[in-house]
Amino acid sequence: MNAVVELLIDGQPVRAPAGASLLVALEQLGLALTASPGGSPRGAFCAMGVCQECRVRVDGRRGVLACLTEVREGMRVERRP
Amino acid sequence: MPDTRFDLAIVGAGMVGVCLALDAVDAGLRTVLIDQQPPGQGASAAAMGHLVVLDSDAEEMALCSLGLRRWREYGDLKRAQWQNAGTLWIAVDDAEQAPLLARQQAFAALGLHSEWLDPQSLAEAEPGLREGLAGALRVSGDALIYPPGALLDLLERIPTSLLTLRIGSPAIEIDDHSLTLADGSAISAGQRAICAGLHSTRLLPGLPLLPRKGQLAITDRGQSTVRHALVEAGYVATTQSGVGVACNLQPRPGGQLLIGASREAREDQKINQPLLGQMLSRAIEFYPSLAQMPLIRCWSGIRPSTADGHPFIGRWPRLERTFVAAGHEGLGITTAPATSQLLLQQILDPALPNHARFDPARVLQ
Repeated sequence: MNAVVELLIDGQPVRAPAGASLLVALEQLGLALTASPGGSPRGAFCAMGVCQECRVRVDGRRGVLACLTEVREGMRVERRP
Repeated sequence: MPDTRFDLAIVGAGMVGVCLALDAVDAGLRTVLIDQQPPGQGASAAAMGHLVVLDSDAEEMALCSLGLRRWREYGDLKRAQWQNAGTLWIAVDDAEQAPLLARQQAFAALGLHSEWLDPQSLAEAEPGLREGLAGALRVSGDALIYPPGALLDLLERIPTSLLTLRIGSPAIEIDDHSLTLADGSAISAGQRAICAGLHSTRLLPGLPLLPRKGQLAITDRGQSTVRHALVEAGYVATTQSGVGVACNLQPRPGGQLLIGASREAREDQKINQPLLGQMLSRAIEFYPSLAQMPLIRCWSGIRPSTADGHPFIGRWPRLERTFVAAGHEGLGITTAPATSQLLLQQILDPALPNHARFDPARVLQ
Protein backbone atom coordinates (compact mmCIF):
# COMPACT_ATOMS: atom_id res chain seq x y z
CA MET A 1 0.00 0.00 0.00
CA ASN A 2 1.03 3.57 -0.65
CA ALA A 3 3.95 2.39 -2.72
CA VAL A 4 5.10 4.93 -5.25
CA VAL A 5 7.27 4.74 -8.33
CA GLU A 6 9.32 7.51 -9.81
CA LEU A 7 9.25 8.13 -13.53
CA LEU A 8 10.28 10.85 -15.97
CA ILE A 9 7.65 12.80 -17.86
CA ASP A 10 9.13 15.03 -20.55
CA GLY A 11 12.40 14.85 -18.62
CA GLN A 12 10.88 15.90 -15.28
CA PRO A 13 10.99 13.39 -12.41
CA VAL A 14 7.53 12.76 -10.95
CA ARG A 15 6.03 10.27 -8.49
CA ALA A 16 2.97 8.17 -9.11
CA PRO A 17 1.15 5.47 -7.15
CA ALA A 18 2.45 1.99 -7.97
CA GLY A 19 -0.11 0.05 -9.95
CA ALA A 20 -1.68 3.14 -11.49
CA SER A 21 -2.12 3.43 -15.22
CA LEU A 22 0.00 6.05 -16.89
CA LEU A 23 -3.19 7.86 -17.85
CA VAL A 24 -4.27 8.14 -14.20
CA ALA A 25 -0.77 9.30 -13.24
CA LEU A 26 -0.81 12.03 -15.89
CA GLU A 27 -4.28 13.17 -14.88
CA GLN A 28 -3.35 13.24 -11.18
CA LEU A 29 -0.44 15.47 -12.10
CA GLY A 30 -2.75 17.72 -14.09
CA LEU A 31 -0.87 17.14 -17.33
CA ALA A 32 -2.67 17.28 -20.65
CA LEU A 33 -1.86 14.35 -22.88
CA THR A 34 -0.97 15.51 -26.33
CA ALA A 35 -1.43 18.74 -28.19
CA SER A 36 -3.48 18.61 -31.38
CA PRO A 37 -1.62 19.61 -34.54
CA GLY A 38 -3.23 23.01 -34.02
CA GLY A 39 -1.73 23.22 -30.50
CA SER A 40 -4.88 22.81 -28.42
CA PRO A 41 -4.68 20.33 -25.51
CA ARG A 42 -6.19 16.87 -25.93
CA GLY A 43 -7.27 14.30 -23.41
CA ALA A 44 -8.28 10.67 -23.18
CA PHE A 45 -11.81 9.95 -24.33
CA CYS A 46 -12.49 6.27 -23.68
CA ALA A 47 -9.73 5.25 -21.24
CA MET A 48 -10.06 1.65 -22.43
CA GLY A 49 -7.79 1.33 -25.41
CA VAL A 50 -10.13 2.21 -28.24
CA CYS A 51 -10.00 5.91 -29.02
CA GLN A 52 -6.23 6.26 -29.44
CA GLU A 53 -6.35 9.75 -27.95
CA CYS A 54 -3.86 8.95 -25.15
CA ARG A 55 -0.91 7.96 -27.34
CA VAL A 56 2.43 8.81 -25.74
CA ARG A 57 6.03 7.68 -26.16
CA VAL A 58 7.48 5.38 -23.53
CA ASP A 59 11.21 4.71 -23.50
CA GLY A 60 11.33 5.95 -27.08
CA ARG A 61 8.55 3.70 -28.33
CA ARG A 62 5.75 5.48 -30.20
CA GLY A 63 2.03 4.94 -30.04
CA VAL A 64 1.88 3.60 -26.48
CA LEU A 65 -1.61 3.92 -24.99
CA ALA A 66 -1.32 5.58 -21.57
CA CYS A 67 -4.64 4.10 -20.47
CA LEU A 68 -3.42 0.52 -20.89
CA THR A 69 0.11 1.02 -19.54
CA GLU A 70 1.06 0.64 -15.88
CA VAL A 71 3.57 3.09 -14.43
CA ARG A 72 7.03 1.60 -13.86
CA GLU A 73 10.04 2.78 -11.92
CA GLY A 74 12.36 4.77 -14.18
CA MET A 75 9.93 4.85 -17.12
CA ARG A 76 10.66 7.70 -19.57
CA VAL A 77 7.46 9.22 -20.92
CA GLU A 78 7.12 11.82 -23.66
CA ARG A 79 3.74 13.50 -24.03
CA ARG A 80 3.52 13.36 -27.81
CA PRO A 81 2.11 10.67 -30.06
CA MET B 1 -51.89 31.92 -46.47
CA PRO B 2 -50.34 29.78 -43.75
CA ASP B 3 -49.33 31.38 -40.49
CA THR B 4 -45.55 31.50 -40.93
CA ARG B 5 -43.24 32.01 -38.01
CA PHE B 6 -40.27 31.29 -40.20
CA ASP B 7 -39.48 32.20 -43.78
CA LEU B 8 -37.46 29.01 -44.22
CA ALA B 9 -37.26 25.69 -42.36
CA ILE B 10 -34.21 23.58 -43.20
CA VAL B 11 -34.30 19.88 -42.28
CA GLY B 12 -30.79 18.46 -41.90
CA ALA B 13 -27.86 20.20 -40.21
CA GLY B 14 -25.16 18.64 -42.36
CA MET B 15 -22.86 20.66 -44.60
CA VAL B 16 -25.59 21.45 -47.14
CA GLY B 17 -28.09 22.51 -44.48
CA VAL B 18 -25.56 24.69 -42.66
CA CYS B 19 -24.37 26.39 -45.88
CA LEU B 20 -28.00 27.06 -46.76
CA ALA B 21 -28.73 28.43 -43.29
CA LEU B 22 -25.81 30.83 -43.62
CA ASP B 23 -26.95 32.03 -47.05
CA ALA B 24 -30.59 32.29 -45.99
CA VAL B 25 -29.80 34.37 -42.92
CA ASP B 26 -27.54 36.59 -45.05
CA ALA B 27 -30.51 37.10 -47.37
CA GLY B 28 -32.62 38.21 -44.41
CA LEU B 29 -34.77 35.09 -44.08
CA ARG B 30 -36.02 34.06 -40.63
CA THR B 31 -34.59 30.56 -40.60
CA VAL B 32 -34.93 27.43 -38.48
CA LEU B 33 -32.47 24.54 -38.80
CA ILE B 34 -33.80 21.16 -37.67
CA ASP B 35 -31.97 17.92 -36.94
CA GLN B 36 -32.28 14.94 -34.65
CA GLN B 37 -28.54 15.05 -33.95
CA PRO B 38 -26.21 17.97 -33.27
CA PRO B 39 -24.94 19.69 -36.45
CA GLY B 40 -22.54 17.73 -38.66
CA GLN B 41 -22.99 14.27 -37.16
CA GLY B 42 -24.01 12.41 -40.30
CA ALA B 43 -22.18 11.98 -43.60
CA SER B 44 -20.38 15.30 -43.05
CA ALA B 45 -18.61 13.89 -39.98
CA ALA B 46 -17.19 10.92 -41.88
CA ALA B 47 -16.19 12.71 -45.08
CA MET B 48 -12.59 13.10 -46.27
CA GLY B 49 -12.93 16.80 -46.99
CA HIS B 50 -11.43 16.73 -50.48
CA LEU B 51 -12.61 19.86 -52.28
CA VAL B 52 -12.28 18.50 -55.79
CA VAL B 53 -13.53 19.32 -59.26
CA LEU B 54 -14.75 16.24 -61.12
CA ASP B 55 -15.60 16.36 -64.79
CA SER B 56 -18.01 13.49 -65.42
CA ASP B 57 -20.18 16.06 -67.17
CA ALA B 58 -20.30 19.82 -67.63
CA GLU B 59 -22.98 20.40 -64.98
CA GLU B 60 -21.11 18.44 -62.32
CA MET B 61 -17.91 20.27 -63.15
CA ALA B 62 -19.65 23.65 -62.94
CA LEU B 63 -21.22 22.74 -59.59
CA CYS B 64 -17.86 21.61 -58.16
CA SER B 65 -16.12 24.68 -59.50
CA LEU B 66 -18.72 27.03 -58.00
CA GLY B 67 -18.46 25.10 -54.73
CA LEU B 68 -14.71 25.55 -54.56
CA ARG B 69 -14.98 29.23 -55.44
CA ARG B 70 -17.50 29.78 -52.66
CA TRP B 71 -15.41 27.79 -50.17
CA ARG B 72 -12.54 30.18 -50.90
CA GLU B 73 -14.84 33.17 -50.47
CA TYR B 74 -15.73 31.99 -46.96
CA GLY B 75 -12.15 32.99 -46.13
CA ASP B 76 -10.56 32.12 -42.84
CA LEU B 77 -12.21 29.13 -41.14
CA LYS B 78 -10.06 28.30 -38.14
CA ARG B 79 -11.06 24.71 -37.59
CA ALA B 80 -11.32 23.86 -41.29
CA GLN B 81 -7.54 23.28 -41.43
CA TRP B 82 -7.55 24.43 -45.03
CA GLN B 83 -4.72 23.08 -47.19
CA ASN B 84 -4.08 24.24 -50.77
CA ALA B 85 -2.84 20.76 -51.57
CA GLY B 86 -4.08 20.28 -55.12
CA THR B 87 -4.91 16.85 -56.51
CA LEU B 88 -2.69 14.45 -58.42
CA TRP B 89 -4.73 12.15 -60.65
CA ILE B 90 -2.31 9.28 -61.12
CA ALA B 91 -2.10 7.23 -64.31
CA VAL B 92 -0.58 3.78 -64.03
CA ASP B 93 -0.20 3.32 -67.79
CA ASP B 94 -0.60 5.15 -71.07
CA ALA B 95 -4.21 4.03 -71.40
CA GLU B 96 -5.05 6.07 -68.31
CA GLN B 97 -3.14 9.09 -69.55
CA ALA B 98 -5.43 9.94 -72.50
CA PRO B 99 -8.59 10.56 -70.43
CA LEU B 100 -6.58 12.70 -68.02
CA LEU B 101 -5.32 14.85 -70.89
CA ALA B 102 -8.93 15.23 -72.03
CA ARG B 103 -9.79 16.27 -68.49
CA GLN B 104 -7.04 18.89 -68.65
CA GLN B 105 -8.75 20.40 -71.73
CA ALA B 106 -12.11 20.39 -69.99
CA PHE B 107 -10.60 22.14 -66.95
CA ALA B 108 -8.85 24.72 -69.16
CA ALA B 109 -12.16 25.55 -70.84
CA LEU B 110 -13.52 26.39 -67.41
CA GLY B 111 -10.47 28.45 -66.51
CA LEU B 112 -9.11 25.85 -64.08
CA HIS B 113 -5.38 25.28 -64.07
CA SER B 114 -4.01 21.78 -64.38
CA GLU B 115 -0.76 20.36 -65.73
CA TRP B 116 0.54 17.01 -66.84
CA LEU B 117 3.45 15.64 -64.79
CA ASP B 118 5.67 13.14 -66.57
CA PRO B 119 7.06 10.24 -64.50
CA GLN B 120 10.14 12.22 -63.46
CA SER B 121 8.19 15.34 -62.42
CA LEU B 122 5.73 13.11 -60.58
CA ALA B 123 8.57 11.45 -58.65
CA GLU B 124 9.89 14.90 -57.70
CA ALA B 125 6.43 16.10 -56.63
CA GLU B 126 5.70 12.98 -54.55
CA PRO B 127 8.85 10.92 -53.93
CA GLY B 128 6.93 8.30 -51.95
CA LEU B 129 4.89 7.09 -54.93
CA ARG B 130 6.03 3.82 -56.46
CA GLU B 131 8.21 3.79 -59.54
CA GLY B 132 6.91 2.95 -62.98
CA LEU B 133 3.83 5.18 -63.01
CA ALA B 134 2.88 6.82 -66.31
CA GLY B 135 2.44 10.30 -64.80
CA ALA B 136 -0.25 12.40 -63.23
CA LEU B 137 -2.52 15.35 -63.87
CA ARG B 138 -1.97 17.99 -61.19
CA VAL B 139 -5.06 20.09 -60.46
CA SER B 140 -3.70 23.00 -58.46
CA GLY B 141 -6.95 24.55 -57.30
CA ASP B 142 -8.29 21.55 -55.36
CA ALA B 143 -8.01 21.81 -51.58
CA LEU B 144 -8.40 19.80 -48.39
CA ILE B 145 -10.43 20.66 -45.31
CA TYR B 146 -11.52 19.00 -42.09
CA PRO B 147 -15.30 18.97 -42.65
CA PRO B 148 -16.57 18.75 -39.04
CA GLY B 149 -14.46 21.76 -38.06
CA ALA B 150 -15.44 23.72 -41.15
CA LEU B 151 -19.12 23.02 -40.48
CA LEU B 152 -18.94 24.34 -36.92
CA ASP B 153 -17.03 27.43 -38.08
CA LEU B 154 -19.74 28.19 -40.67
CA LEU B 155 -22.47 27.64 -38.10
CA GLU B 156 -20.77 30.03 -35.68
CA ARG B 157 -20.79 32.72 -38.34
CA ILE B 158 -24.56 32.86 -38.15
CA PRO B 159 -25.64 35.23 -35.36
CA THR B 160 -27.60 33.11 -32.87
CA SER B 161 -30.27 35.80 -32.75
CA LEU B 162 -31.00 35.23 -36.45
CA LEU B 163 -31.08 31.42 -36.58
CA THR B 164 -33.27 29.07 -34.58
CA LEU B 165 -31.68 25.66 -34.02
CA ARG B 166 -34.11 22.81 -33.29
CA ILE B 167 -31.93 19.86 -32.33
CA GLY B 168 -33.09 16.59 -30.77
CA SER B 169 -36.32 15.73 -32.47
CA PRO B 170 -36.37 14.60 -36.10
CA ALA B 171 -38.83 15.92 -38.63
CA ILE B 172 -41.17 13.03 -39.35
CA GLU B 173 -43.91 14.43 -41.53
CA ILE B 174 -44.42 17.19 -44.01
CA ASP B 175 -47.53 18.30 -45.86
CA ASP B 176 -48.47 21.39 -47.82
CA HIS B 177 -49.05 23.33 -44.63
CA SER B 178 -46.76 22.17 -41.89
CA LEU B 179 -43.68 20.27 -40.85
CA THR B 180 -44.13 17.96 -37.85
CA LEU B 181 -41.36 16.88 -35.49
CA ALA B 182 -41.30 13.58 -33.58
CA ASP B 183 -41.96 15.45 -30.33
CA GLY B 184 -45.27 16.58 -31.79
CA SER B 185 -44.40 20.20 -32.44
CA ALA B 186 -45.36 21.73 -35.75
CA ILE B 187 -43.03 24.08 -37.59
CA SER B 188 -44.70 26.59 -39.80
CA ALA B 189 -42.49 28.12 -42.45
CA GLY B 190 -42.97 29.92 -45.75
CA GLN B 191 -40.56 27.58 -47.51
CA ARG B 192 -39.10 24.22 -46.54
CA ALA B 193 -35.75 22.74 -47.63
CA ILE B 194 -35.01 19.05 -47.02
CA CYS B 195 -31.24 18.48 -46.86
CA ALA B 196 -31.29 15.32 -44.76
CA GLY B 197 -29.26 12.90 -46.86
CA LEU B 198 -30.70 9.38 -46.87
CA HIS B 199 -33.32 10.45 -44.32
CA SER B 200 -34.83 12.80 -46.90
CA THR B 201 -36.83 9.87 -48.31
CA ARG B 202 -38.72 9.55 -45.03
CA LEU B 203 -40.16 13.02 -45.55
CA LEU B 204 -40.37 12.83 -49.31
CA PRO B 205 -41.61 9.35 -50.28
CA GLY B 206 -40.84 8.69 -53.93
CA LEU B 207 -37.42 10.35 -53.73
CA PRO B 208 -35.05 7.39 -54.11
CA LEU B 209 -31.67 7.76 -52.38
CA LEU B 210 -29.10 4.97 -52.31
CA PRO B 211 -26.50 4.34 -49.60
CA ARG B 212 -22.89 4.22 -50.75
CA LYS B 213 -20.93 3.19 -47.70
CA GLY B 214 -17.29 4.24 -47.55
CA GLN B 215 -14.49 3.32 -45.15
CA LEU B 216 -11.50 5.41 -44.16
CA ALA B 217 -8.36 4.86 -42.14
CA ILE B 218 -5.89 7.36 -40.71
CA THR B 219 -2.27 7.00 -39.67
CA ASP B 220 -0.59 8.24 -36.54
CA ARG B 221 0.98 11.70 -36.68
CA GLY B 222 4.40 12.45 -38.08
CA GLN B 223 4.27 9.62 -40.59
CA SER B 224 3.62 11.18 -43.93
CA THR B 225 5.33 13.70 -46.19
CA VAL B 226 2.58 13.54 -48.81
CA ARG B 227 1.79 17.01 -50.18
CA HIS B 228 -1.11 16.48 -52.59
CA ALA B 229 -4.32 14.53 -52.57
CA LEU B 230 -3.17 11.40 -54.41
CA VAL B 231 -5.98 9.73 -56.33
CA GLU B 232 -5.64 6.99 -58.89
CA ALA B 233 -7.15 7.78 -62.26
CA GLY B 234 -9.34 4.68 -61.95
CA TYR B 235 -11.13 6.23 -58.96
CA VAL B 236 -13.87 7.73 -61.10
CA ALA B 237 -14.76 4.27 -62.45
CA THR B 238 -15.46 3.04 -58.90
CA THR B 239 -17.74 6.02 -58.29
CA GLN B 240 -19.71 5.03 -61.38
CA SER B 241 -19.96 1.32 -60.61
CA GLY B 242 -20.81 1.97 -56.96
CA VAL B 243 -18.60 -0.81 -55.58
CA GLY B 244 -14.92 -1.44 -55.07
CA VAL B 245 -11.79 0.23 -53.79
CA ALA B 246 -9.40 2.83 -55.16
CA CYS B 247 -6.29 4.57 -53.91
CA ASN B 248 -7.14 7.98 -52.45
CA LEU B 249 -4.57 9.42 -50.03
CA GLN B 250 -4.82 12.81 -48.39
CA PRO B 251 -2.36 14.55 -46.07
CA ARG B 252 -3.64 15.91 -42.77
CA PRO B 253 -1.88 18.55 -40.65
CA GLY B 254 0.64 17.00 -38.27
CA GLY B 255 1.82 14.38 -40.74
CA GLN B 256 -1.19 12.11 -40.59
CA LEU B 257 -2.31 10.44 -43.79
CA LEU B 258 -5.98 9.86 -44.48
CA ILE B 259 -6.55 6.71 -46.54
CA GLY B 260 -9.52 5.89 -48.75
CA ALA B 261 -11.56 4.90 -50.55
CA SER B 262 -14.16 2.18 -50.73
CA ARG B 263 -17.72 1.87 -51.93
CA GLU B 264 -20.43 -0.62 -50.99
CA ALA B 265 -24.20 -0.54 -51.44
CA ARG B 266 -24.76 -0.86 -47.69
CA GLU B 267 -26.28 1.26 -44.98
CA ASP B 268 -24.67 -0.23 -41.84
CA GLN B 269 -21.58 1.49 -40.43
CA LYS B 270 -19.78 -1.65 -39.30
CA ILE B 271 -16.22 -1.94 -40.60
CA ASN B 272 -15.98 -4.50 -43.40
CA GLN B 273 -12.52 -5.92 -42.59
CA PRO B 274 -11.83 -7.75 -45.89
CA LEU B 275 -12.79 -4.64 -47.86
CA LEU B 276 -10.65 -2.49 -45.55
CA GLY B 277 -7.77 -4.86 -46.29
CA GLN B 278 -8.32 -4.51 -50.04
CA MET B 279 -8.46 -0.73 -49.71
CA LEU B 280 -5.19 -0.58 -47.77
CA SER B 281 -3.49 -3.01 -50.18
CA ARG B 282 -4.53 -0.83 -53.08
CA ALA B 283 -3.13 2.26 -51.35
CA ILE B 284 0.14 0.46 -50.57
CA GLU B 285 0.49 -0.52 -54.25
CA PHE B 286 0.74 3.18 -55.03
CA TYR B 287 2.52 4.33 -51.86
CA PRO B 288 4.69 1.45 -50.60
CA SER B 289 5.98 3.06 -47.37
CA LEU B 290 2.38 3.22 -46.15
CA ALA B 291 2.83 -0.43 -45.18
CA GLN B 292 5.10 0.71 -42.32
CA MET B 293 2.85 3.49 -41.02
CA PRO B 294 0.81 2.72 -37.90
CA LEU B 295 -2.93 3.29 -38.31
CA ILE B 296 -4.74 4.69 -35.32
CA ARG B 297 -8.35 4.72 -36.45
CA CYS B 298 -10.79 3.38 -39.03
CA TRP B 299 -14.34 4.54 -39.57
CA SER B 300 -17.14 4.44 -42.09
CA GLY B 301 -19.76 6.80 -43.43
CA ILE B 302 -22.72 6.58 -45.74
CA ARG B 303 -22.70 8.69 -48.89
CA PRO B 304 -26.25 9.42 -50.01
CA SER B 305 -26.32 8.86 -53.77
CA THR B 306 -28.75 8.65 -56.66
CA ALA B 307 -29.32 6.08 -59.41
CA ASP B 308 -28.07 8.38 -62.18
CA GLY B 309 -25.19 9.85 -60.17
CA HIS B 310 -26.58 13.39 -60.10
CA PRO B 311 -27.76 15.05 -56.92
CA PHE B 312 -31.33 16.18 -56.35
CA ILE B 313 -31.34 19.97 -56.07
CA GLY B 314 -34.52 21.98 -56.48
CA ARG B 315 -38.23 22.17 -56.00
CA TRP B 316 -40.06 18.95 -55.00
CA PRO B 317 -43.21 19.01 -57.13
CA ARG B 318 -45.36 16.81 -54.88
CA LEU B 319 -45.52 19.44 -52.12
CA GLU B 320 -46.09 23.14 -52.02
CA ARG B 321 -43.17 25.42 -51.08
CA THR B 322 -40.78 22.49 -50.65
CA PHE B 323 -37.22 22.05 -51.88
CA VAL B 324 -34.73 19.22 -51.64
CA ALA B 325 -30.93 19.01 -51.77
CA ALA B 326 -29.61 15.48 -51.29
CA GLY B 327 -27.70 12.67 -52.99
CA HIS B 328 -24.35 14.33 -53.67
CA GLU B 329 -22.49 11.08 -52.99
CA GLY B 330 -18.77 11.93 -52.73
CA LEU B 331 -19.16 15.58 -53.65
CA GLY B 332 -21.38 16.81 -50.84
CA ILE B 333 -18.69 18.79 -49.06
CA THR B 334 -17.22 20.28 -52.25
CA THR B 335 -20.57 21.31 -53.65
CA ALA B 336 -22.45 22.28 -50.48
CA PRO B 337 -21.93 26.05 -50.91
CA ALA B 338 -22.89 25.79 -54.60
CA THR B 339 -25.96 23.71 -53.82
CA SER B 340 -26.96 26.28 -51.26
CA GLN B 341 -26.61 29.08 -53.77
CA LEU B 342 -28.77 27.29 -56.38
CA LEU B 343 -31.43 26.48 -53.82
CA LEU B 344 -31.55 29.96 -52.30
CA GLN B 345 -32.03 31.53 -55.75
CA GLN B 346 -35.12 29.36 -56.18
CA ILE B 347 -36.34 29.98 -52.66
CA LEU B 348 -36.17 33.73 -53.27
CA ASP B 349 -37.62 33.55 -56.79
CA PRO B 350 -40.64 31.24 -57.11
CA ALA B 351 -40.56 31.62 -60.91
CA LEU B 352 -37.11 30.08 -61.25
CA PRO B 353 -37.43 26.56 -62.74
CA ASN B 354 -35.42 23.56 -61.58
CA HIS B 355 -31.99 23.02 -63.11
CA ALA B 356 -32.56 20.30 -65.72
CA ARG B 357 -29.73 17.96 -64.64
CA PHE B 358 -30.42 18.21 -60.91
CA ASP B 359 -34.23 18.36 -61.13
CA PRO B 360 -35.65 16.07 -58.39
CA ALA B 361 -38.82 15.63 -60.50
CA ARG B 362 -36.90 13.41 -62.93
CA VAL B 363 -37.60 10.42 -60.66
CA LEU B 364 -41.35 10.95 -60.92
CA GLN B 365 -41.53 10.62 -64.71
